[in-house]
Amino acid sequence: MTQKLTTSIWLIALLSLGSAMAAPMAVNDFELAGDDIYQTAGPDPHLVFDYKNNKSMSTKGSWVSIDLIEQQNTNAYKPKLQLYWRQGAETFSQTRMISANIKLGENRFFLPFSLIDASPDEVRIDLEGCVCKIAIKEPVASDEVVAAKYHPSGFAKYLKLYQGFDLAINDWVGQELVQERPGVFTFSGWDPRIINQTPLNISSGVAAGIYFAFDYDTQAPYQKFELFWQLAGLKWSALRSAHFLLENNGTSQKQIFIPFERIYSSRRLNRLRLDFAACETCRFALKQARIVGISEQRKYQEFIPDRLYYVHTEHPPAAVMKRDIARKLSHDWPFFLVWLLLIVATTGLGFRFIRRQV
Amino acid sequence: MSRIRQLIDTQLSGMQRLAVLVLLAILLRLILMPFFLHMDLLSEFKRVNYAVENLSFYPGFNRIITFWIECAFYSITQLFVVNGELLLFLPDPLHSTSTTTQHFIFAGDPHIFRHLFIFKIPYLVFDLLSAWLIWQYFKSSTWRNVALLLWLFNPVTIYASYVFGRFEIISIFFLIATALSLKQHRVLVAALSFGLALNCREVNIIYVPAFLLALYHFLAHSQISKTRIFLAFTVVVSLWQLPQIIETLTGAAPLFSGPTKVVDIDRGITALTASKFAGVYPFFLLFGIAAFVLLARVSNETYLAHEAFVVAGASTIGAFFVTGFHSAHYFAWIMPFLVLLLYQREGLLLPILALIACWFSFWMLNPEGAYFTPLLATPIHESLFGWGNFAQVYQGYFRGHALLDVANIRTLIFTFSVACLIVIAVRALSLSAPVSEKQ
Repeated sequence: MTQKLTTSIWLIALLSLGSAMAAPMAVNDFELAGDDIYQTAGPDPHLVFDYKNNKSMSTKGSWVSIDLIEQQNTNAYKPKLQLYWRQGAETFSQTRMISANIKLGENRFFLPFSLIDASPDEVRIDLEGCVCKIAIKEPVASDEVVAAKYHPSGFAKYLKLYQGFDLAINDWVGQELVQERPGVFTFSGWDPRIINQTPLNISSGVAAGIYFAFDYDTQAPYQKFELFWQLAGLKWSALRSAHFLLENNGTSQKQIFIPFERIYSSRRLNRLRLDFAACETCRFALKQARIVGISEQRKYQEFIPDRLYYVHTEHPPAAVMKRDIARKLSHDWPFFLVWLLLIVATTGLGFRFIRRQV
Repeated sequence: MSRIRQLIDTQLSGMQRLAVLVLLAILLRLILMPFFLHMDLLSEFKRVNYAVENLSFYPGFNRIITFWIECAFYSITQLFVVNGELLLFLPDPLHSTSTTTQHFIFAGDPHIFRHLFIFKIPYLVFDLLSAWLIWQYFKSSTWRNVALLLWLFNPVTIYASYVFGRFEIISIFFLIATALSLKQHRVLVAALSFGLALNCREVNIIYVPAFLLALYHFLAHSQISKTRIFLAFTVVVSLWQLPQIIETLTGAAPLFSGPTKVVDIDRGITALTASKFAGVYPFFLLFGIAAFVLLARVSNETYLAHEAFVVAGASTIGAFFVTGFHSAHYFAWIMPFLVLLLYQREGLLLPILALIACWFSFWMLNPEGAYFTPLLATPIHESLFGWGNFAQVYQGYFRGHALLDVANIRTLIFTFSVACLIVIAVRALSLSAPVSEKQ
């Protein structure tokens, strides 16, 4: 059923906050239906605005205003916006996206870029779940801090992931482990593991990784662990896990950080499972489990285990592959050096053959 | 670059050009070595590591010689392996095939490039030794150069050794050594080489008729004494039974398998019998061998013993590929025979090049089977370059053309490769090397 409703509220107040209005630099799956009025015309309607000249050093964020003039598909669909931004060589991606529910009529949001350390060059506005006519103008930068009630509906969740958050210790339940008290386990079976019970429902692309601080009193020279991630709609699988090895350095206090950059999936991350090697006399006490946010990932880098192996079957993104190869080559630089010398020596010998004749 | 090209074109002698090309071939191999593997390479070196660590060297399968050669190299190169106790740990030798998890752990290790380079060193050595034997085999300098370059730059053995990371090249070396020894009338050395080849790869047993045909040639033309031919025959039979002999004499128990069945031929032969067309295969095998026996009988001096071995060997393994390329690296089995067939010269180079081109394009259009899969070439993935693979690019161009569908084109290419095989077989069976080459 097609429903037609009409409203007409203009966003005059916004004009005073920023620079002169400009047309979007890119329009996709929209048709122009009047001055600043667009009709959806395809499966992926979005507009890209140049934001470079809009922002300044003191910019705290940006007002985005959209007038949902008419919704032509059934109102069972809940229209929403996806607000992307990018800077420099970055692409528009789920890791820099905040969603916002919208309703018929005027919708105004304030994107507080300063809270997430963003200084965008471009802003992209996607319209989801709606065959509609909208009036939209260029996002307008603001130097003033705006109250949280004007933030898009998805911002609080994004900010929480961006800043990172602790997972409750008592949410971790042991299997083939005997729980003494929350977070403290003694080993009993052949396949001991701990699993978080409350689904995280987070985008693995936004969170930087998982950090564990624990006390593990095994005597083994190498301690083997396997971290599994359960994605929405998928079961646990050894093909979605990372193995890591810790060397026994004489202390039972351990801190590890496993980055999520190689999960590679757009599915939402629900649960994590940490498996241990079977041990008859071990005791494990979880001190802290934290979803590390992008804003704080630098300080956790030192806790990435030296021996960390991701098992995957999905195609890794090129950037991750390049980082991975660079990491391996820099880690094993003596081999790389010898290999390069062999290449240079063979090439040099070839040139020597050529030059000898001259 | 133009200066270098000018130098190469005008200033360099033939030998210098060849030397530069050989160095280029080595360079190509050195570049490929650290970056690709199939998980079979890990399984193999877990076994090798286990044998070297435990000083117990009887693997219990029909490729003992390959295994021993790998062990010999590894006993030195293991000094440069890092975390071997973790990456190559084999808790139960009877289950020595790597799991996907072990494979990913191995491929994700920071020292993966070093390990791949180290593990492939024996293949590089035997590859270059094979090139040297091919050089020795040919008399005509022009055709010697052609054969050498075909060997050094053929994508088939390069893929099998340095991308897939399989040990086929060791077995191939002993087959080439057999042909060269037959040419030099060193029948006992030929028997020793062939016997070792039988213990390098299970499939090599299908060349036994070809080798017997060569012995028959010597016998028929009284070129070598009956005693030496009998001795050669004994050497081959003894070496064929090598695993059984080792078990009987030393009481050694197989490390990685149950009791040895000497005639139990893995993969190569079982693949022959697995198809619904299996009944037709013996016809191809027997046709090739019978035709050659017939020719050898009637043509007296036309064919020499080593030609008999090469042409009969090529016919036999060619028949195997009439039904399919099977696994991409299996095609390396035919390469030594194709290169040595150039001894017959006339009209063979073009169909051989066309056949190799067919193999290459077939597998380029079948990326899941040959390259860049999760289990193959894992340290580097096609997504690194962002170009997609050839099959995707092809599909992008010909989307909507049912006749040009990838599956159809692959069938067409394979049919063309069978045509090439038939042309090669017919020409090889009807040609002989020039008299000047034989003298």
